[in-house]
Amino acid sequence: MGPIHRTAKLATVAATPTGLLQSWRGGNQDALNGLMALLYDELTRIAHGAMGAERHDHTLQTRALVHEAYLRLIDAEVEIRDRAHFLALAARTMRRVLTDHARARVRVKRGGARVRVSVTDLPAPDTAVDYLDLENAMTRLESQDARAAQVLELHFYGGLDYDETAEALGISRATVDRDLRLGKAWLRRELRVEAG
Amino acid sequence: MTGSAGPGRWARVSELFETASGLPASARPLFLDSACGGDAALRTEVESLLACDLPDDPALDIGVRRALDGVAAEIRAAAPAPDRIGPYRVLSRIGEGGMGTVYLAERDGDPPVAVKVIRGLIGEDGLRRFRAERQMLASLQHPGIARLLDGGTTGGGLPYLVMEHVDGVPIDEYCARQALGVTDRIHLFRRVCDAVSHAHRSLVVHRDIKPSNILVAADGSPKLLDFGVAKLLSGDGTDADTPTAPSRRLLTPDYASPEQLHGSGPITTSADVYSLGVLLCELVTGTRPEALSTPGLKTPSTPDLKTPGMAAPKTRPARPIANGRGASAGRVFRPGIAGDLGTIVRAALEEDPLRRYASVDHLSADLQRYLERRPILARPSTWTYRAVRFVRRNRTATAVAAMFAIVVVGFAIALTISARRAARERDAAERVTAVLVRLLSGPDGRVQERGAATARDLVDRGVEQVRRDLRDQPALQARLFETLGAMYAGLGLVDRAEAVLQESMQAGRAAGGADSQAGARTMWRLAEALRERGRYAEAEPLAQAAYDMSVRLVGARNPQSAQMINTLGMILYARGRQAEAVPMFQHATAIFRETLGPDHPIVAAGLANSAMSLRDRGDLAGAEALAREALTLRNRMFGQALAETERLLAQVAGNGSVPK
Repeated sequence: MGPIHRTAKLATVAATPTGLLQSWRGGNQDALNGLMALLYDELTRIAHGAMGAERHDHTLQTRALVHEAYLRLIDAEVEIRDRAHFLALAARTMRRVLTDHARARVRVKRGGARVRVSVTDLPAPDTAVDYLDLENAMTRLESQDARAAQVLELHFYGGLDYDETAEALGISRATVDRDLRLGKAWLRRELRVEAG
Repeated sequence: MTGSAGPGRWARVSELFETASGLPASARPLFLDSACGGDAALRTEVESLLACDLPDDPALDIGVRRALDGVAAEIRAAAPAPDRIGPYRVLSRIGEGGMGTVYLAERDGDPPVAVKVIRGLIGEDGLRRFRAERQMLASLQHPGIARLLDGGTTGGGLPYLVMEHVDGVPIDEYCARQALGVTDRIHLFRRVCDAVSHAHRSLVVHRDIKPSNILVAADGSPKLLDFGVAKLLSGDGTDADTPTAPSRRLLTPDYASPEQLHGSGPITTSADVYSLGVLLCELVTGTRPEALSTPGLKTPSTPDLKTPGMAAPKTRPARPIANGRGASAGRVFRPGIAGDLGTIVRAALEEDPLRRYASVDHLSADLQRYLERRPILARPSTWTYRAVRFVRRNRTATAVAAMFAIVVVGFAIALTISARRAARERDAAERVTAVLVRLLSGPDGRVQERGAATARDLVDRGVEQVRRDLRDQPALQARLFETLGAMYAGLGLVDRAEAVLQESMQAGRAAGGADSQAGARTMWRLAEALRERGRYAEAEPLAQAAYDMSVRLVGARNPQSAQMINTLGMILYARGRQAEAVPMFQHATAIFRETLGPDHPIVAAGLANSAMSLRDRGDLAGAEALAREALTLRNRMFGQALAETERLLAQVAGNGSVPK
């Protein structure tokens, strides 16, 4: 196989999401940006419902969207580790898609002032959490404990399980468990979520 | 990585939290005393986190999930609506269904319709299948089913369905808003059953029955949406063999049957029976089946079915977050509703489709019996009823139990052989039956739920044994076939019941009609089995013949004959011939009273039947008189169990005016 041929082939491979994933995992940071851009569009499209299979369920579950993005974008067998990294990236991108929408909604509808629907405002004890409150709390946690925040991100936005989370972050299951527990306690406190 | 509090300090917080959370609550203050020293701020920080350390509490997960999914739904809602879909002009978006977006649309000034654009990776084969299925679904016509009118493919290649637009609210919401009582809920539910049953007769399975798919119009009539639509998109076409197919086939897990969730078996009409069971449980208890069975959850053993906590918000305990694999393995529902209603719900929720109600009609018929408080008319022979109830309670018998049953039947046969020497075979048969029944319904007969043998196997083997070993004893064979047929009927296996009862009749004929009283009973049981299936036209002549034969043999003034004419009345009633049915009910009631005494429950049931048919003919005064009579009788029988009797009365009077 001549060098020209090989280059051509590499270029083709890298243009697909699967190729980008593998290229990124091989250390190419540009590939990461390309992949995130693709993911952002894809997740938005799936959320719009313009395409894509969806669970026969009445709620749009973000974890389902993330897994759907994986199914749609990654068309080849990839290693478990690569899959975990992809899902982690998709979870992060999902968060960005949601946050962008929530912020835009606030700007459009309320002219900058957003309505707070937090636990304490509700008449009945409920578990209502305002999305942007959550987003702000997540950002605060990130500055405090980046890894715990990341574990929460993968858990909530991407629906990754312990093994996938451990794989994606290169930590042990025990650490995932500990971070999740601490992170959730922190969120409960910050969001004042009452026991349900 | 660096924050205002400093990474070093947070590391300390994190470490203390971890250690302290592993300690019993009583030991924590002492630990924090020594660990924090005089650093009050550090201690406050750790303690506030410990106070929020609730690993088993689902509130946060639920709240976060709702927040996230809520924004995702907003994104969906913000997606631009198309102007046209095929030839239809879009008026508005009316909803996000699980499978797609629903629009209100119109065409050429016709009444508006609902157009559902389906998202799905269905591919070329999928589209072909979709068109074929659509043809079949379009042929479904029933007032309780939203009609499929048309369908096609959008410019973007997405399939769409055009359906009758139903203006209504989901059934659970409707019941809550109208504050319907249990009886009205069951009536409404049975109308849903009628619609589902109609579809089943056309071999269409809904596959996704849930409250949001059952809308109730302002006039109180329910209508099912999306009949069979789930199949259009199910994985049994092109996508089934891809490794990711299982996750694509996730249905609404709250209502899907175990075989749908685990892919453990073919999806048949039985899947709908299961989903209806979940719905029924929710409607009559206000709680989901698994909530009733959660060990930690306190449930009253006998919820007050007259005034259930319907106003309370629906309990939907958090599910473990499904991560796509094995999330719902080993789900077992054991709803804690007492009494016959509980039995009905449980029978619909059996894990094994073979042990569920054999059809929606069976489920519905049992509910009718429940409402009309006439289990005895439905299972007229007490011993058979008991035996069948036993079998029902213990549908999964151990291998030991199966052996036991075989021994019993074997014993019956052994007895018979000795009885051949005895003068009267019939006495022996009587004894055989008695022994069989006594053993089957013994008080400590409860068996553990292990092993593969089922009650059905047990009866199957009994039938085989009787067929083989009693070939030269047709009269006895006829009798035992009759017993076994009744057991099949009790298990809801009406086809088998019918086959065995036919065999019983043949054997009876081979015996030269020596025991034609048994022949009459067999015909009557067959008529009952057919009636349960709604095969009234076939049931009618059998019931008539059984009654005629019984009258010839034992006379009309006999409870057996009365039961038969009561059955005939019920068949005619179901065929819309109330005028003929009423005198039959009255006749049967009079004979029950005469032969069984005035205080027999069967008499009250007969009165209730009569009252109902009078009510249906518009004779409210007559209905009320009979209902009062039934009430008096019930009062006498059950003391002053007023709740029961009032319910019976309200039910037969049917107009809500309950005399005190």
